[in-house]
This record gives sequence, C-alpha cells and structure tokens, in this order.
Amino acid sequence: MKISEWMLERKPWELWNISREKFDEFYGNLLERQKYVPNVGDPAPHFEAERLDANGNRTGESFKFTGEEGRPVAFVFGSYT
Amino acid sequence: MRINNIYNTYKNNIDFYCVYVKEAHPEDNIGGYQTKPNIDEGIIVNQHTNIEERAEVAQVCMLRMNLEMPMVLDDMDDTAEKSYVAYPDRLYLVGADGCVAYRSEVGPDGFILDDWEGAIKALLAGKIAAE
Repeated sequence: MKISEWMLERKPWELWNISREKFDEFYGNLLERQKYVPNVGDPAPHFEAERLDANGNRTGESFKFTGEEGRPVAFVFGSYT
Repeated sequence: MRINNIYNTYKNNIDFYCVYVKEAHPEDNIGGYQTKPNIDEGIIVNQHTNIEERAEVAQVCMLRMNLEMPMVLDDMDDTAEKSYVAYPDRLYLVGADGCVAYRSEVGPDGFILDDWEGAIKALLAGKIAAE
C-alpha cells in the first residue's frame, strides 16, 4: 500500500506546515499499521465505550460491542478535526 | 447531511454508532498535525489528555455537525481505534454474524459514504433474500 494520488495531490505536508520528510515518516507509520486492519470476514473486534446521549452529554453508561448483537452494526470512526 | 440520511434510511434494520476517537489534526500536533483547512474554519482543538476532554470535543463535534446517530467515546487507551486501525477515520459494517461485512480504506481518501451505503444495501438485500 502506498500514499494515494488523492492524498499526494493535496500536498498534506503544506497543509500541515511540516517538511516533506516529516510527512513521509508520519504517513509511512500510518500505512505500516494498515497490515493489522480487520478484513472482510474477520470477526469484528469487541470493545466497550461510554455512550453519549442525544445531546452529546456523558451518560456513564457503557456500550459493549460483543459481536452477538444478532443484527448488523455500522460504525463510523472519526474525530472533529 | 449525507451521513444522517444514511442513518435515517437504515436505522430500523441496522444499529449505527459513531465511535469518537483521538483527534486527527490537533492544534498541539500530538498524534497528528494541525491542518490549514481546520485553522481557516476555526477548528482548533488539542489532543485529549483525559476522557473529560474527549467527551467535551465529541459533544462539540456532534452538535456542530448535527450528527444524529448515537455516539460512543473510545477510551483513553484508544482501544477501539487500535483494534479497528481506524485513525484518522474509517467506516465499517458488521454483519449479524459478528464478522466484518465491509470496511473502508483508511480516511480521508478511503472514507467513501457511497461505498458504505452500497454495502449496507447489499447486506440487507441478502438478509431479505435469506428470509
């Protein structure tokens, strides 16, 4: 796997205000960890995470993903930035 | 918004969760680098050092982006992020059998909502056919 054309065209090192060398190091590490990504057909990793309510407030309640929900589950992983 | 449309279209048949993970482009350049488009939009957030900080930014994110699907917070060991190799962002669909039915390539270039929705449609079509 290598850096996509899409990424390269955007010149992220300029947007991130870092040197090309630093970018290559950072993105190289990111690509390197892709070999651990779960693939289609693999058991989806189980995890626990605190639920927020519909207004984004903390609930203290734990969401447990066990893979035994008996119905499909869709995940969007991400952050604000 | 597209992500809410997908959620609202399929939420009766699929559980949806937004898993809030560590910042992709924090101002303090910890774990990722600040990026000009975010500065231009005034999105200036440091990397979370505790769960309270993570919860605070997650709430801002949910409210400012009007995200309707349920949100959960990854823990400060980044357990979910690491197991799903999700940083900076990524889409998954898990079948009723608990196995990965679809995963996007790593974002942002791999974060393609059309492909995710296509997988959701295909999974549901297969399920209906099987019943």
